[in-house]
Amino acid sequence: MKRLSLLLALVLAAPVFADDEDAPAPYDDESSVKSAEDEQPPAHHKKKKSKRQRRDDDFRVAEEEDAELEETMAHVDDPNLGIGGEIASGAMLLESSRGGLVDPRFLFGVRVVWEFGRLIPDETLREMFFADLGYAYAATHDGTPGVFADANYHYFSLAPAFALPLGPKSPFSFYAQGGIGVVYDFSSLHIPGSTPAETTLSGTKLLLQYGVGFRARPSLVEDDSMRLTIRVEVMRYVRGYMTDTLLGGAVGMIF
Amino acid sequence: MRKPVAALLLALWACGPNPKPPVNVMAVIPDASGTYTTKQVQLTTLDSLTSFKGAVAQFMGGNRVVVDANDPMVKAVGGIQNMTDEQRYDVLVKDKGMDVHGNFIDKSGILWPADFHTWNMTSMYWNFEQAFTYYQGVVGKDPDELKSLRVMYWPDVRMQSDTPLADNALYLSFIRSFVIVPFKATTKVPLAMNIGVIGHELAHKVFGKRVYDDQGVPAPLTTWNGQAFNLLKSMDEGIADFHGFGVTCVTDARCRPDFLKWSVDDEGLIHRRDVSRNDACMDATLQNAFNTFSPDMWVRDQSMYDVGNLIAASLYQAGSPKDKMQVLRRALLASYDDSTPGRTGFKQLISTSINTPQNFTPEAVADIIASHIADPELKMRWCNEVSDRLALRCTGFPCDLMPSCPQQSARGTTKCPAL
Repeated sequence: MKRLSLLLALVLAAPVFADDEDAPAPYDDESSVKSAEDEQPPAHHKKKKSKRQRRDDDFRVAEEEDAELEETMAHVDDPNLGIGGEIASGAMLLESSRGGLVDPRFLFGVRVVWEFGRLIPDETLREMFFADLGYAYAATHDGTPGVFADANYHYFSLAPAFALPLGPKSPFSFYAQGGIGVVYDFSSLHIPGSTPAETTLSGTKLLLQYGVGFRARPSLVEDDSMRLTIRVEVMRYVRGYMTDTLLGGAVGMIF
Repeated sequence: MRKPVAALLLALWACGPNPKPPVNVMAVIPDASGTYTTKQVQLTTLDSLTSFKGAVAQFMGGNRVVVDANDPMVKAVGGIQNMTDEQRYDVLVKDKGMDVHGNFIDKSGILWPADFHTWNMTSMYWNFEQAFTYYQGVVGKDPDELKSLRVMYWPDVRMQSDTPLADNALYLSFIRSFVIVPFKATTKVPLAMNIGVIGHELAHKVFGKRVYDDQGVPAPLTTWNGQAFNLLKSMDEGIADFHGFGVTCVTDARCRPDFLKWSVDDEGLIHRRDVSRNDACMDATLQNAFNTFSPDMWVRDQSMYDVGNLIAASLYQAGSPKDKMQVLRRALLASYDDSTPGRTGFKQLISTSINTPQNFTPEAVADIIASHIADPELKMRWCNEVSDRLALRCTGFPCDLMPSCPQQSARGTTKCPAL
């Protein structure tokens, strides 16, 4: 791909290299350069030198244009689609209704990751944006054998993130994320007893999500077209008027 | 357009439901058969639904209470009895806790608890309201002592032990708080959902307010021992069971004298605390314990509840025929504190007997109750029941030890054998 862009750059730059007379540019040998340094140049030499200088300038311009072109063509050159998937899990610290700090529960989730920054031509910016379309699940089971309740929380969210790579082309970055979605709350109360009774209810609440994390995406193949993604994150989920905190991680692949 | 949307989002995000009372909620309450089931009820006194704060109770969660005689701050003043109420609360409640946060889902204007603890707290708040209504009916006006009660939900409570209390509901007078400790072994209806249990605990508060003048550590409980101490503790427990049964009467369950059976596994304990039991009688072993156990032995022994049950069963059996229960309840409440000459109450008897605890006798207590019962037939039945079941020293009537009992009263009307 790089070769292609270089070739393209050379092809596009070719008219700049050519002399006015459409003649090939002559190269001086070392002695002529030396004599030019030792002796006063004749008048026609003066003309020759200014031609060479102009040629050097032309090369410099061409190199700069080449570099610019290489940069602007980075999205063409990019081996990544920017689409991936991850499996997430961790400790969901559910806000405690009983007045304790939190009720820690296991969380499981999956998400589709889209590095939408790759739409941006700028090579730096294109590594800085991604978004998760995620689903996560946590549940509680509390009570006595005589009266107990199961509460199931299904979190659906779309959350764009801003990543700050540790360096140019670094696969490691810190990120901040915020998103919105819904939480589907399904709860059931069981009273087994002599006449077993089960009361179920469900509802949805607005979900807001925000947090920070660390992301590593080392390449798995030589051309970087497949990467492993590993994340560690602290995320807050505001479901209605309750706020849960996730201490979690995720692992996946991105192409 | 932007402003209303932003306001809506903020409202959805930040605020919990906070409807004005009455609030329609779902709770776990007893049905006509006494079985606990989910039903829509109204909470009429709540100021804040999600934090369960209202006119009858103020819930807090996650508190930590440590009662330790070796606590330097307790030792420094020579014991918790030498502290003011505020000092005791500050020193013994190591963690004051935080607001509870009920999780509700609104379904067509009815708020449904969305997790177990929210079900538990909603049901418990409803129980507090029903108990308040019960005492309102008995006292004839709002019982001031039952307003804005401090309730510690799911606290860590350690009483002279490293092991936290579990599977219990208590009224701790020394910190003026109701505590609903976590359950570990409970297999039935949680105590917080059991309306009889909440009625029982509120009865301690009413007793403490009216009989002990709301002292956190009542003087007779720190200075008396032997029978007087044991009687005082058993009265408190027995009368609390009697009122606990009474509170069940304001529900669809229609009076459940064995209200503990919904929450307790131990069949023996359920029977021994059943206020309707007709076989509740003093026996020689219990009488010996009653007369000789030290305060420490008494409060740790089931005998305290057994003697209490003799009082509760006497009240129940006296009040049951001809549906005189409400009359009896009012007479009982009136007996707590009455300075009328010749018809004084428990509070006055304790006060005059503070240095002569031998004057605080079962006969004197029974006579105070009799003196507050206006209905002659009911008064006679009470005298018959209590004198038989507690094996009082009045073997016939009239009796000098129980002058309020009518001449028609008699021993041997129950199945209790004479000791």
